[in-house]
This record gives sequence, structure tokens and C-alpha cells, in this order.
Amino acid sequence: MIPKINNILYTTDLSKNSAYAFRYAVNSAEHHKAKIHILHVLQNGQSQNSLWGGPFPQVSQAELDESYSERKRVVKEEIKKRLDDFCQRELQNKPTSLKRVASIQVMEGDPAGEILRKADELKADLLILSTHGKGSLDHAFLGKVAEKVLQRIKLPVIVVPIPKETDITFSEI
Amino acid sequence: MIPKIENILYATDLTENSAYAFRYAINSAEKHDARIHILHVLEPLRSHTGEYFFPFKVETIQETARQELLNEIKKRLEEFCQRELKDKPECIKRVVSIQVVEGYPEGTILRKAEDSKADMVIMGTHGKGWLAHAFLGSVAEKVLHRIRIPVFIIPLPEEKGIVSHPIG
Repeated sequence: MIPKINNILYTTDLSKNSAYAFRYAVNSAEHHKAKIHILHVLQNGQSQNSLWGGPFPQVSQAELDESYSERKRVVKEEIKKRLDDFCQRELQNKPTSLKRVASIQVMEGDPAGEILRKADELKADLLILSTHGKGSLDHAFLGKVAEKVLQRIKLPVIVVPIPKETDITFSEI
Repeated sequence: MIPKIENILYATDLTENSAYAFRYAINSAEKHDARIHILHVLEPLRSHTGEYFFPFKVETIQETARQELLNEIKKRLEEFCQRELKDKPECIKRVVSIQVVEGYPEGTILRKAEDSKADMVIMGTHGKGWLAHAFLGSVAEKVLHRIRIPVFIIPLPEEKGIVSHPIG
């Protein structure tokens, strides 16, 4: 038989497509009576530590690092809060589904790598991710992160493209 | 809300991975009360050698052989369904079509997904073990680049011999 699906990892890049894919995550979770883990990975920033101190040479590297990590912490908190609000809104009529959301995590690092690591750590049985709907350009469709994940993962994955029409709006996430 | 899943296109390349993915197709079909369309795409012959020695006959010979092959594959897929679902006779009814067609896999899969009004495509992928980059089959990857409906991708789990009755 097929393995039981107990843990679903839903990864989001905070795009409209991701918001739409969440509904598939909820749907699968309901059918399989599974838990949903929500994950967003904040891509590692680029060269915030430039060698000569960037535009603020009078500020020491340590201070820069500190202010940078402080800002990151704030951003992570904010994203987490918005994801939480998003779940509440999406599932306002489905309190039982809301209970299935077992965790909301905002990580930092290489998105594909973090997704694979989390899938392992959470013993996920299913991964749900969305692709970039870059319009009519065929080849821009599958995102880089999705592609990398798909090449390395050993789990079933549901890849959700953006539909032609959806009632979900960009600002909702 | 989320679109209802009524039609599932299960595309198989006749490997063990695909046979395993069939179980996910069945499972999803049961959960969503959906129909299953089974599709195998046989790649067209590319070689045209033989014209010189068989100026008239070679195409007819190939044509007959191909037709026999298509029929044989279809028969084996039917047997496979019967075997896999022998304990679930009610599920057999969910399999509404088994098609074996000639063509280029990714284009044909996309076209058939439209024809059957599929709400989801389910495919196994090449689980080439340790080689990280070999995991996603080229057909799956091409389909993913172009399709507009969700695709459920199933790798073969690491344990061997999960599907005890391999197709043919």
C-alpha cells in the first residue's frame, strides 16, 4: 500500500501562486487527516558585509552585522505574523482545518536546501509547492527553487501552477 | 475555493516507479471521488533505415509491429489494474480509460490532460538512487514547465520490491 500521509510540508514564497497552493495543502490535509507545516525561507542576503564597510565606513563591521541581523529578526517575525493572519483568513470557516496547521516557520538560507532539510526533519510525507506563473513564457514557468527541490527530493510532491483564474488576491498574504 | 478534482490523468512509462505511483492515483481518486485516465505514450520511431533494402515493405512491417505493440501494452496495463485493484473492485470502475498512443511524451501528456479535462496529473519519476540530479525524469520536467494544472510527482521509495507484480 502507499505510506500514510501524516505530515504535509507546504512551502511558500509568499506569492499569489503560493497562496493558491495553500488550498491544495488544506485539501490534502483534510483528506488524509494530516498536519500542515508551513515554511518560508528567506534567501540569504547578498553582500551586506562589503569589505570596505559599504556606504558607512565609519560604522564597524560588528555593528553592521548586528543591525543587519536585528532587521532580519524583525522581518522574520513580521512574515510569520502575516502567514499566521493568512491562515486565519483562509480557514475562518474551517476551524478544524486551522487546527491542522501545526507550525509556521520562517527560516533563512538557501531555499531549496532548507526545504529539503525541513522535509527530513519534520518527517514530511508530502510536499506541496507552487510554481511561478510568469504568464505566457513557457520556460519561465517552473521556478528555480522548485526545480532544485524536485531534483533532489525523495518524497511525493504536488506541484501547483497558478490557475487561469483565482479569487485569491496578491495582497492577501 | 479550490477546484474540485474530478478527473485524474495518470501517465505511466511502464517502470516500477510508475506502477508505484498508480497507488497514489487510486488513493487520490478515492479521496476525491474522481475518475482515472491511464495514459502511456510510445515514442515514435526515429530511424528510417531500411528504405533502400525494403523500399515498399518496411513501413508496413513497422506499422503492423507497432500496432501489435500498442495493443500488447494496453492489455498489460489492463491486467495490471486488475491485479492492483483485486481487493477493491469498486475502484476498477474509477478507471475510465486506458490509452496507449504514439507521440512525443510531454506534448501528448499535455494534450491528453486537456482532452480528458484532467484536474491533476500523476506521474512517477525516475528514482535513480544516489545520483541526485537524475531524480526528475526529463519528461516530468518538461511537463512541469508547461502544464497549467497541479502535478503530483511520486518518486520510488528506497525499499525495493514494493510493487510485487511489475508490469510485464
